[in-house]
Amino acid sequence: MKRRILLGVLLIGGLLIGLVNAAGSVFTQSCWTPWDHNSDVREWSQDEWVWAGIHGQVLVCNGKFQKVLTDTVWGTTEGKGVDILSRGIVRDPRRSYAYVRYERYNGEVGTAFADIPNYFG
Amino acid sequence: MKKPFTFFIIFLIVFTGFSPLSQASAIPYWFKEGTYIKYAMKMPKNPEKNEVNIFMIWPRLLPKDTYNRIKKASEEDGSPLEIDNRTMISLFVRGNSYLTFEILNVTNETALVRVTLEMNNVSAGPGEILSRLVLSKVLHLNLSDMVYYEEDGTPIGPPTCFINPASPPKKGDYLLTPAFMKKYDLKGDDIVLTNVSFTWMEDKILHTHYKDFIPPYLFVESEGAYVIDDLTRGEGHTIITELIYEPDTGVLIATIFTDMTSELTSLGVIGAIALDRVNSRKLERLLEEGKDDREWWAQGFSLYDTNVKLPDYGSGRSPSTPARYFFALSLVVLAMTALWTERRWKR
Repeated sequence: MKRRILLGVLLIGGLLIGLVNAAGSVFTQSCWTPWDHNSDVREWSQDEWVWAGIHGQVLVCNGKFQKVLTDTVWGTTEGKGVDILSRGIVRDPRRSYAYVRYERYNGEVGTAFADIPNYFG
Repeated sequence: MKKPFTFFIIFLIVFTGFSPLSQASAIPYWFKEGTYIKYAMKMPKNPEKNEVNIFMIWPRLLPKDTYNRIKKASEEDGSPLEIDNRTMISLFVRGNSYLTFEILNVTNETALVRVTLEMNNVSAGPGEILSRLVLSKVLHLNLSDMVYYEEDGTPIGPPTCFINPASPPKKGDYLLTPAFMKKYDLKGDDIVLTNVSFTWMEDKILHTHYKDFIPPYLFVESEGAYVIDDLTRGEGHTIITELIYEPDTGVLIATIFTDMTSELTSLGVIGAIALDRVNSRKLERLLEEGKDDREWWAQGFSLYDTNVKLPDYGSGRSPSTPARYFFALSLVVLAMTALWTERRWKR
């Protein structure tokens, strides 16, 4: 009899501990903040290139993107051998991005663009 | 002999007297009710990952219903992110964009011009997509000073869909007035023209969606002004606006990058990291084949449709309309003098 009660207590206890653990792990896993990065490099030669890059943490809860943690966002907007018309890093919690607008020596214009979460870039 | 001669002289004086007058008028001959000019910025059917156009929108300039529609779309998927009016909204466009000017009504003093920006396949944040978003507004153009005004009297800026060929814009001219910028809390540098020239692509045919053009082109640019797009963080971006005109009619035929103009900014646009990706691909092919010495593809908004009669280059270059009238009138005068003199000789 005693042994049965002990077994029962142990079983229920084990179940409870298991449940708490499971719940705990669900909670800790429900939201996380992975690093995300993206880049767009155009290279015509060693001396002619543009580079837009972005890097930062995103908040994901239950597998769903929530927002970009804009304070963690860093970007790169570089180029060589091209005329950089404008460049920027937009820290928007919905979608952050880096861009470079350039003009090549032959007059062709273009954009380099990278975003997080990386849907397009 | 004296009579027809004086007649001819009087005619010439009257005509040459009128000609500069009609040239000085800032309104082009084609500017009348029902005139429309439409531009397109096309996206290929299967765009590559980084072929996306971004329109930066200043919420304070949006009509209420459009603002609410974008706000609703961005909140629909339970996103915790609010749209507010202190920070620009970036619209990501993966379809064609169209910019249209329609002249609705012309009186002696003002003209009503409807400006419409249509964007297809638009997203304001990750997830939600609007299949079509249309921004539209009717602007009041004062025909004496050629400046658009808001209903409360705030001057916006000069029209950019056309210029007066007889007195083209000059370096230092405002593209948007400080009064307008101030009204909508757009802080930053003055937006003025930094370059006006006739040398852009001076030896190349320009392909637009509507037709091909031949040089010279009037190139007008505003580059380098810094505009705050986030009042909370104090961050901003540098603007660049490049406009290409057909010099006979003064009609805008293409743009390269175009961030801020009276018409676009009235609709809310304060930046456009955008290009015609279809034409850009065509230009790239042209460059690869080394055929870019004679022709060029317009890479920004370019002419798509219009009912303005543009110069026809079919059999050489035809003169502009005032010149055409001058030639026609001279011919008439010549014929009349010839008749007169012949009659006198017969007598």
